[in-house]
Amino acid sequence: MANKPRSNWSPAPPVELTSNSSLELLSQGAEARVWLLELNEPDATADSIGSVGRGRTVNVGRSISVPQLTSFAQKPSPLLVGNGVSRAVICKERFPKKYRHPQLDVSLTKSRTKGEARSLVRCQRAGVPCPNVLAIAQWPIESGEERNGMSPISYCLFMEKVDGCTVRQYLEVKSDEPAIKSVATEPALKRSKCNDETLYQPQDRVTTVIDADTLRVANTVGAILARMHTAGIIHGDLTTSNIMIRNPPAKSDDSWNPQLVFIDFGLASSISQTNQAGKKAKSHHKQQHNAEEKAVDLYVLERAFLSTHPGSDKLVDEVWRGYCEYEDASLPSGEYSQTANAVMKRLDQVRMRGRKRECFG
Amino acid sequence: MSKDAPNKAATATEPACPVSPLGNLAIPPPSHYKPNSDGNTVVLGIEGSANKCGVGILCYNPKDETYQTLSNPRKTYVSPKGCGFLPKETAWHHQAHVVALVRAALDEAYPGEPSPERYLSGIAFTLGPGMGGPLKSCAMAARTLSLIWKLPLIAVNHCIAHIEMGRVATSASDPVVLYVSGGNTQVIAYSDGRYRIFGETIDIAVGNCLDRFARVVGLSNDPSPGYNIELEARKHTAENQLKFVELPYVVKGMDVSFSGLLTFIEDMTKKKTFVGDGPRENDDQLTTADLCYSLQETIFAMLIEITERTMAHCGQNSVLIVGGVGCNKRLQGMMADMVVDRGGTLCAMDHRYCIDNGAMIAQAGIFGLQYGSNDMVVEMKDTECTQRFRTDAVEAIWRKRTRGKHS
Repeated sequence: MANKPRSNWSPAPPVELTSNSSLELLSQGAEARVWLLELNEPDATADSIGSVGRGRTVNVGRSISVPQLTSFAQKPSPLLVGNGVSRAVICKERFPKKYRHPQLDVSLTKSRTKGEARSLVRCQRAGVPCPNVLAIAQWPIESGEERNGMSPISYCLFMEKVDGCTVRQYLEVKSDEPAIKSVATEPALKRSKCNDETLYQPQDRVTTVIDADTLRVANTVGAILARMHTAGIIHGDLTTSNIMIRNPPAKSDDSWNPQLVFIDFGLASSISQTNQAGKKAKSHHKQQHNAEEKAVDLYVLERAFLSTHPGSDKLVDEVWRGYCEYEDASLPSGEYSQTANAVMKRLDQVRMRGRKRECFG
Repeated sequence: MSKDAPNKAATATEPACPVSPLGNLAIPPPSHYKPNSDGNTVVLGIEGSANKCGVGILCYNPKDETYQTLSNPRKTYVSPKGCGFLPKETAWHHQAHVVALVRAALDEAYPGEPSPERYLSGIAFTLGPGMGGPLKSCAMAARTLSLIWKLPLIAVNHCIAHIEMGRVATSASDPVVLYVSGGNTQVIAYSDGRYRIFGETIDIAVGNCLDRFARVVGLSNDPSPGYNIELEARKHTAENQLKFVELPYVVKGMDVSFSGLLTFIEDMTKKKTFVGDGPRENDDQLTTADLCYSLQETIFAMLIEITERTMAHCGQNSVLIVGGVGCNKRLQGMMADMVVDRGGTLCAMDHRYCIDNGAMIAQAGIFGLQYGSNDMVVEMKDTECTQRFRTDAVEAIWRKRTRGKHS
C-alpha cells in the first residue's frame, strides 16, 4: 500500500499537501493516512510550538490549544520541528469516508483529530513519551464531490517524526536473527525463508525472542503505561505497532535504556483522575469505572501481543510487572500499587468475559 | 414423499462450484468413508442453531472437481410481534419439522428414488454455537439418521460453516470475513491453520441489537425484524431526507460494543419527542424511520470500520460478509464503498451463506470428512452440543498452513 504512485492516492489528498514535492505516503491505515513530508524552508525565527501559530489556534481541550495551519504553502513555513534540527514532519490525515453518513463522518474525524491532539499534549505534560504536536489543519480534499451540501474535508494533525522502529518490527527482526534463535524458548527454529504461501510445519513457527533486551522493552512499556493511566489517559488501541523505540541499538547492550514512544492516540480517551488536588474521596463506582477502562486498555494490548508475537507470554507478564511496580512520586506511597492491583483484578474479569464471548449462532 | 414433489419450488438452483479457486490442499483419497456408486461424495447437513431449521444435501463430484448443492429446504420459526424466539418454542418447532425437511431434501436431490440414503457418505450437524434446545433437537435427528443408515457423523462449527459456504460460493480463496448475525459479530481472517477472530463485539451481537430495537418500536418479526428496520430506513431518499441523530459510537481497538447504544436509543423512544410512525410536526421530533435510519448508519459504520482495520492489519483485500445481517443492502453498499476505496473486492452476497441453512453445514462437514478432521468426524459419545464454541477452536485442516500475514 505504502509506495503507491501519486496517481493512485484515493481519495486525492488536499492540495495543500500535494503542493509539497517531498510528500510521501508512509502508510494507509484504516482510519487515516500517514504522510511524511519535508518542510521547504524552516522558519528560523520560530523556536517553539507556541510561537508558530500566527495567532490562529484550535482549542482541543480545557486549556489546550494547538496552532492551526491555514495554508501549507505560505512562506516562511509556519512549522518548525523541535529545535530546527529536523525538517521532516509527520502528517496524519483523516480523510472523509465515503461509506459513512456525512454528519457522522465529520463529527468522527473532527473529534478524533482534536481528541488525538488533546491526548498527545496531555501525555507530553504528564511525561509520557509521545510525538510532539505541531499543528492542526482542516482542508477540503481535491475533487471531492459535495454530499448533503457538505464538501468532504480532511483533518490533518502534524507531528514530530520519531526516528526508530516499532516494537513489533523490533521483536520480529530479533526473531529473525540467527544468533539469537538459540536463546528462544522453543527449539527447532530452522525456518527457511518462507513467504506467505509456502507450506510450513508447526514446529517451524517463529517464536518471540525472550532475552534481557526484549524483557527490558516490555518492562518499560508497563512503566510508561502506568504513568499514562495515572495521568488519566486511556490509549484505546495499544498494539506493538503503536509503540516505537527511538534508535534501537544494533547489538545487545546491557546498559541500554529503551527510549519508547507511544504513538497513534486516535482512539484515546481520558478518565477523571483519581487524585485531583483537594478532591480525595472518589465514589466507589467511579473507581470501578476507571479500573474497568484501564483493564480493557491492557486487555487490548495483551491480545495484540499474543496474536502478533507467538510465545510472547513472558513478555506480557513483564509488561504487567512493569505496570505494577511503577512508582509515582506525586502520589502518596502505596496508593498507586492499590490502583494497579484493582486494575489487575479487573483485567482477570475482562479476560473471563472476553472468553465468554463464545456466543450464539 | 409423495410423487407430487416436482410441483414444489426447487430449494437449490445454484450451479456447481469449482474447487480450484479456493486454494485448498489437494483432497486426499477416501480412506475412512465411502463415496457412493456414482463415485461422488454426498453429505447431508442439518442446521438448527437458531430459529431456522434446515437440511441440505451437498455433492462432491471428483470428475469435474466441483461441489454442488442438490437441495436445501428450510423452515423458519417466526415469533409473535414484540417477542423474540425462545429456546423452548424454537426447539419444538425444529422437532416438528426436521423429519419432513430431511425427506424433502432427499426427495429433491434424488427424485423418485426409493432409498436415496444409499447415496450418502456422511451426516453433518451443527455442534454449536447456538441455543441449546434447538441445537439438541437437530443433533438428535442427526444421531438417529447416522445409526439407522450407518453413516459417520460430522460435527460442524456454525461459524466455520458460514465461512466455508461463502468461500465456495464466491470462489474467494482468502477473504476477510465479517460475520454478522443475531448472535455473532466477528471479523475473522485465516491465519496459521485457524480462522482467527480479529475483532468482535464485547457485549451483544449486532443482530440482537437490531432485533431488540425492532421489538421496542413494535416492528414485526416477519420475515425478520432486521429486514423491517431496513425497510423503515429506506424511506430516506434524496427528496425526503430522514433525520440523522448521533448515537454512541463505540469502537475499542478492533472490537465494538452495542449495549450502550441500544440503551441510548431505547431511551429516545420513551421521550416526548418520539412520535412513532409520525409524521414529524417540528424538527425536534423523531419518527421510527429516523431512528431506524440513524441506528443502521451508526452500527454499520462501526462494523465497516473494524473490518477495514482488520484488512489494513492483515494486508488483505477481499471481504466476504456472512450471517443474517449480511443480507442488509445498506451494509453491503457501505462495505462496497469502503472496499473500492481500498482497491479491493467485495464478494457478492448470497443466501446460501448469509441465512442459516443445511447446505452450509454440509459444506463444512464435507471438508471435515474428506480431509479426515479429528475435530469434526466424531464418535457418538462426542456429539453433545455446545452453546459456546469459538470459531478459532477448530483447525481448518483443508487449508494451507500459511504463516499469518499479521504475525
